[in-house]
Amino acid sequence: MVHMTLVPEGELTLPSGAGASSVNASSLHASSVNTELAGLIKASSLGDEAAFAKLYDATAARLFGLVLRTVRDRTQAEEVTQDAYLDIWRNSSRFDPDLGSALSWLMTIGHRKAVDRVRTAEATRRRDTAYEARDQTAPFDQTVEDAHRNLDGQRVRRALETLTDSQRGALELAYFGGYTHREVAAMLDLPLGTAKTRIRDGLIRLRDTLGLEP
Amino acid sequence: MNNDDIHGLSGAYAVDAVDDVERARFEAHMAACPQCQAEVASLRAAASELTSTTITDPPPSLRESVLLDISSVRPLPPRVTSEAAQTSGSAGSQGPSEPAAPAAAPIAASAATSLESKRAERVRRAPVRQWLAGVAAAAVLATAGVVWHPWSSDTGTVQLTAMEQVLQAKDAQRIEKKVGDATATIVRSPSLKKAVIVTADMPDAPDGKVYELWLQQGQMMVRAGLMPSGPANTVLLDGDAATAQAVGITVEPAGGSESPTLPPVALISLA
Repeated sequence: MVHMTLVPEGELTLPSGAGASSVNASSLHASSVNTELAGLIKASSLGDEAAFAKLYDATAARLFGLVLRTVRDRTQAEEVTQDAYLDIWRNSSRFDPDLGSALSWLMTIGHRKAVDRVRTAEATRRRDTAYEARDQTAPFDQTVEDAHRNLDGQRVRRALETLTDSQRGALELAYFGGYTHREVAAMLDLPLGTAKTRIRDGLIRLRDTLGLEP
Repeated sequence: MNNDDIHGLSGAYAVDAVDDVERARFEAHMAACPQCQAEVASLRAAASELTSTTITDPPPSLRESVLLDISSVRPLPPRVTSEAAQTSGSAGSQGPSEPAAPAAAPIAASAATSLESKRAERVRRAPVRQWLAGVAAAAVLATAGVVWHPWSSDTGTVQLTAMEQVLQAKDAQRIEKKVGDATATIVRSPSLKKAVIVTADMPDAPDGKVYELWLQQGQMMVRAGLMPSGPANTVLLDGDAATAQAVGITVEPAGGSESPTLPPVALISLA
């Protein structure tokens, strides 16, 4: 039952900003990487802190980047990321590879944490202040520095170009903005119910263009 | 929202672009809809790819903090099916022994049981006057970390019609109450005479304790069920919600109490 042997000895090849030069083209959605991540999650559930450290090293730039993009404030992003990894550790036994990829599981937890944070009134106020002060938002078609060096990022950007502008806009506000579909509808002056359709259609097109299992 | 619409919420749900009540409604639906389960999984996979466009290295200090955190926290055990869990029927069996109840499973279990097993009306009562005195001194809930299980999967064997009906009723009324950082939302359908409570960010009840729900019926507080543990739950209340004036939440010993322990955590007026 104990799959300790699945834990890879070497470094994972998941892109992490600074070390992105060593990234291989299909690393991210390659099932082998997800299998390795799943092995690390399994080992973590057995209390293996070294495996968890590897899991962190392989995924932290992805999760932190997502959280930072959503909450925008660096200090809060660090808090939320820390909280997310604690949750990942605690709940590692609840990950089921049959129900989704390891990366998807990790990012889903991080995203929910980030969204919960921005939806509290206090955080919203602080975020808006930070946003005005720094204006560090970057729409999809602007490029976050590291993403240029990241082949997965390029692949996803190209896939995003296949979405209609309205699908992309709604998806961006929902995923990175942390807004509800009702809020998105109001922001884009759409009839209620339209935003959720665009979000769904956009995700379906993204999924199919990336060749993910439907 | 009717049932035709609810499938269309899969994308918004997959990227957390739903409010607490929509989430509860969709999870209740999804528990019995393998098609939506599969779609949500695939859409979440697609959404997670978006993070390759925002890669940003965290500061090294964060790694140290995370590793320090986990060194003092024990990973939760895997979910196992015990004999007791298989045979028990009440929502209370989800009780406080499990530190973090799954988000989806208790919804299913409590919905199935509280309506079907219309228990012999073991109505327990307590005077409202006493209760209201306690509200003034109501304890404020402390902050708690959110534990969330995106792949909770104990699905497929449950009937969810009762809760779904309330959540989707045409005459559904929604009353939201903040208590500290927690949110409790009551959705009541007068025509169905039923109410559902949806909680978010609820801190765990103290060790050996459980949150109990009450309906105020005239001058009496009537037991309406137990909350499963975990920060986010959706529970169908026992009893006639059409005639009730308020919903109460108290902290009680495991298994619940005959009468509410004061002060209550919250009293939510339905008027």
